[in-house]
Amino acid sequence: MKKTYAIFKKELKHYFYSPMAYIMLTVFLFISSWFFTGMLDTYISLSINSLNPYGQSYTLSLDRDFFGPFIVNMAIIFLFFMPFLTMRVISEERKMGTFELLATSPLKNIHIILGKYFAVIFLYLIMLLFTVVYFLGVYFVFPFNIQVLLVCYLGIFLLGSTFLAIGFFCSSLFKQPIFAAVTTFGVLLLLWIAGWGVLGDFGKEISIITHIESFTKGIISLKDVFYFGIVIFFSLFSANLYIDSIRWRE
Amino acid sequence: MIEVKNLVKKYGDFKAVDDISFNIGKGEIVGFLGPNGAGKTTTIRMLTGFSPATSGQAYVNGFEVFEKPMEVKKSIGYLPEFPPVYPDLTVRDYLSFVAEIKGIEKKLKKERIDYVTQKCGLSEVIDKEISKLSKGFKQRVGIAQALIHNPLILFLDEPTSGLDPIQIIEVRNLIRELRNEHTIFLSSHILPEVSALCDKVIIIANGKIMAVDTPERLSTGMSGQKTFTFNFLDDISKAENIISQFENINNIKVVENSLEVKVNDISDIPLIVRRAVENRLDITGVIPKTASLEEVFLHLTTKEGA
Ligand SMILES: Nc1ncnc2c1ncn2[C@@H]1O[C@H](COP(=O)(O)OP(=O)(O)OP(=O)(O)O)[C@@H](O)[C@H]1O
Ligand SMILES: [Mg+2]
Repeated sequence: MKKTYAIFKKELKHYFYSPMAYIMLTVFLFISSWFFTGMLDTYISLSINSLNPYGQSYTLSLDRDFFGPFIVNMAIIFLFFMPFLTMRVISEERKMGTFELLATSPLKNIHIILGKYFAVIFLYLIMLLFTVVYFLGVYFVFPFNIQVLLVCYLGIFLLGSTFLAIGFFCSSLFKQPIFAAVTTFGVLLLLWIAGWGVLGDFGKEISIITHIESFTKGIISLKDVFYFGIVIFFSLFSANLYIDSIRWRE
Repeated sequence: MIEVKNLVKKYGDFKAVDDISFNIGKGEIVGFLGPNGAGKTTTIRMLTGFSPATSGQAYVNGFEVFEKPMEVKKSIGYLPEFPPVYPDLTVRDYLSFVAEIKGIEKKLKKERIDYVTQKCGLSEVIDKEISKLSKGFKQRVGIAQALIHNPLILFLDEPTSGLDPIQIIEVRNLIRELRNEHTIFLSSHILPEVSALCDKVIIIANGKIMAVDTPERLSTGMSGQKTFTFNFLDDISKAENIISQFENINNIKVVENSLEVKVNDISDIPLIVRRAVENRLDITGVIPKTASLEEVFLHLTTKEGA
């Protein structure tokens, strides 16, 4: 536990001592607020339409027409962001030779992996926390039932954590962070579009994005939670195996 | 402290370390000497539990490295070939991190950091970012890192490579200071370095151990062959003429204004000097020639082949 915490602290220092964390947060805030205001705009014009007696008869819902789509939009942003967040996590240790320090210290792989994984999750939570501010703004003007929004957040949190776990595994594969980033992006994109194509229902099952749909409707489906859990576990476990195999080859 | 039995490391079909065995006692400072690609780093990586051996056993501090890696890792400090530092951390942050992963208790941490800072002469750079340090300081941070948990055994892989002459002297002095408190296993490809620091030398080439001996015996006592360099005031060809008539000389050649004379027995040297004086040669120096690593190697490998 203490050793996991030591790794965790060290990881956060890397992100915050270098411009990395600040650049990521700034870019993220910029893009996500852009999306948010854009969608808020659309929602408002839709709601004006719905007041018009000659317009379509359609009952607007904040949950369905705003929170849900916004969460899916965030998922797209994270698809591009997460590869950068995790690319250096293992590969840089190998590139700099500090992997040898970790591997010859009385540490277990699990200390290294959990410490590092929690650190990227922590950064991710900070990003999510910033977006909460947007909704607080809406809430003050127009109080709404927060239950669905909370479930949406749980969904996006699980989805992002899964992205991070996959990125983590890819980072263990390469010595160069950039290769890890490109691979992560490729894998995530494939998992995303798996539901679109010839694979049919099976594709939908393995596609990463279909599993967040129920969350956007305010439903916590155990099957989806299970899916994310399995992918996270499997990715981190594979990273663990791969890290051991590096030592066999070196 | 370190016991190695029939250790082998293969990469594919290539044997980087080929069936080596040796023992190192407590408090010894041992040099592991060999040219590039000899298998030094590979051996050290096996002994530190970084990479598993293909076959054979290694005991460090009484624990089998592959069976009890945690126990071994607690008792060793390791400076790899390139200091394993995080450039974006300060020296203090870095040492504090290493202290934590080595399992040092919180209340002892500050004391240990202060100790290694003082020991390795890092006080002036303690709050600097490691990326801003010179190579010499980085190397000292690397040594400090290896010392932080006061390990019984230190593994230092080419601790002076890439340093300038002043930094080399500083690092050697530091290692000399550490010898009383730790068993030290250091690799090098420089013979004088090993002779200056070590009680014992293990020579490795092509993954095989060629010799285990004291540095003095290795550099001077190569199977009874003795080479001396003679300096004269006189014309060197005249000197060569006279000396070369001496019966017991094995080999004689002119090297940069001095004579290099190889004799079969060291007792021939006073006879040569007497002969020179009788012939009115003015000798200004007689210097025993210590073998360079290359010569020791050449010698050991040719002996091996014969
Ligand atoms: N991961 C690896 N895969 C394949 N071959 C390797 C690997 N690591 C080392 N070797 C080979 O094993 C041999 C021994 O290498 P090693 O690094 O142990 O030599 P060394 O004595 O430390 O040399 P140097 O003085 O250059 O550091 C070399 O021929 C090297 O090419
Ligand atoms: Mg080496």
